[in-house]
Amino acid sequence: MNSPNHERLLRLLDGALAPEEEARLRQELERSPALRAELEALQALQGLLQTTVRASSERALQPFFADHLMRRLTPAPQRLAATTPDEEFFGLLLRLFRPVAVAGLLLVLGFATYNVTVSGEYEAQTSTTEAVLGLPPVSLATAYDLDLSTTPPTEP
Amino acid sequence: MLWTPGKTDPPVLETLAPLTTPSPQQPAVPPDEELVAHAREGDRRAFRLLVERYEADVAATVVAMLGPTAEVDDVAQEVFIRFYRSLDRFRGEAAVSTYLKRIAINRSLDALRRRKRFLSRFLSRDDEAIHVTEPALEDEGRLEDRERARFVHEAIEALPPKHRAVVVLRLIEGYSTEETAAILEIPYGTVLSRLSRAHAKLKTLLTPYIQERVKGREGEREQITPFPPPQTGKYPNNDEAR
Repeated sequence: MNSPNHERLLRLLDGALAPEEEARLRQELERSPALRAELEALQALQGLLQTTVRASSERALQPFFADHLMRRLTPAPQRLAATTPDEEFFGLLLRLFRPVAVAGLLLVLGFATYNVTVSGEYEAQTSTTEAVLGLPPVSLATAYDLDLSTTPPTEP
Repeated sequence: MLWTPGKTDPPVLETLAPLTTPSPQQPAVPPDEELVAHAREGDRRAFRLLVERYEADVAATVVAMLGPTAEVDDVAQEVFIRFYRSLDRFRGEAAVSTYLKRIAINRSLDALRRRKRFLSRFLSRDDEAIHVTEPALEDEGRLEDRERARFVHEAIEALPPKHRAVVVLRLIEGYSTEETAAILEIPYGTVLSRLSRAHAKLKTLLTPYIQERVKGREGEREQITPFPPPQTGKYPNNDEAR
């Protein structure tokens, strides 16, 4: 179907044709079965598209769409004031998490540095892990041979 | 413009009462211009009324453009947020519905571009053809309806985005060709040529359903009830709705 006919048929469906133009088109439609078929197909297509989209859009938005939207448009301080005690508590936890995590990491790094520095003072050889964790330089073999008795053996 | 913290919002109907003179029988239905004016001054309830008034229309446009996907809610929210931010620039030369329609089309085209980038990056052509199968535990009529809806949305999705926008406004929303051209800011002739090509493609893809409908019409001679006619207004050539 060419564009002018297409447009005229669409305007007819919309009821947007001038009376004399509409009368002329209706005469053409009576004379031409092909044009009539085109009109019916166009009408059917338009109806099909409209009913399908209308049915699909009924369930397209989440429940409480307006609530969610208004919440997004509310600035943070006001939003916080509107929260429940539970939400406030979790919000506080969320805000505290990062500084606490950073402080903890710094503390661990500080201890590790201190341990590494102090381990250099030992004469015995220590591994890197032992140095970082601040463990005494004890191997499995030395631990096996270690004499744990506190009192020295008495001579006969 | 955001709501000022601590500012209390008076009930909108109370706020609007002096401006409107409702009849004793009918509840006050404030016109769009009045709601926009109040929303511009920071009255959130006025804006909320606008959202509630037009959310279904915006959803219909976005669904027509993107199909019934999870993106629709996000895009619809983006539309209203964009509208909210441009309230100061909204001069009321176009109807609110038309203005929102234009934003909805532009946001949907953006979403389609994002989707295209995502698909080209992460999925192969074969993956795109994968469809989620519908659950079979339904009666035949409903299943048929869902199947038909799926075919129709796939046919719309098969159109290039620019053609799709024309089909949505002209065939689905019921805007005139002149109005469609004004909303999309393209020449009248371009609307006609895109519509003609899109129509030919849709007709090919949906032939069985069109024939079924034509036969049904021959039997019943039912009247198609289109979407309610859009509010017409002037279509200023501005970029606010982009």
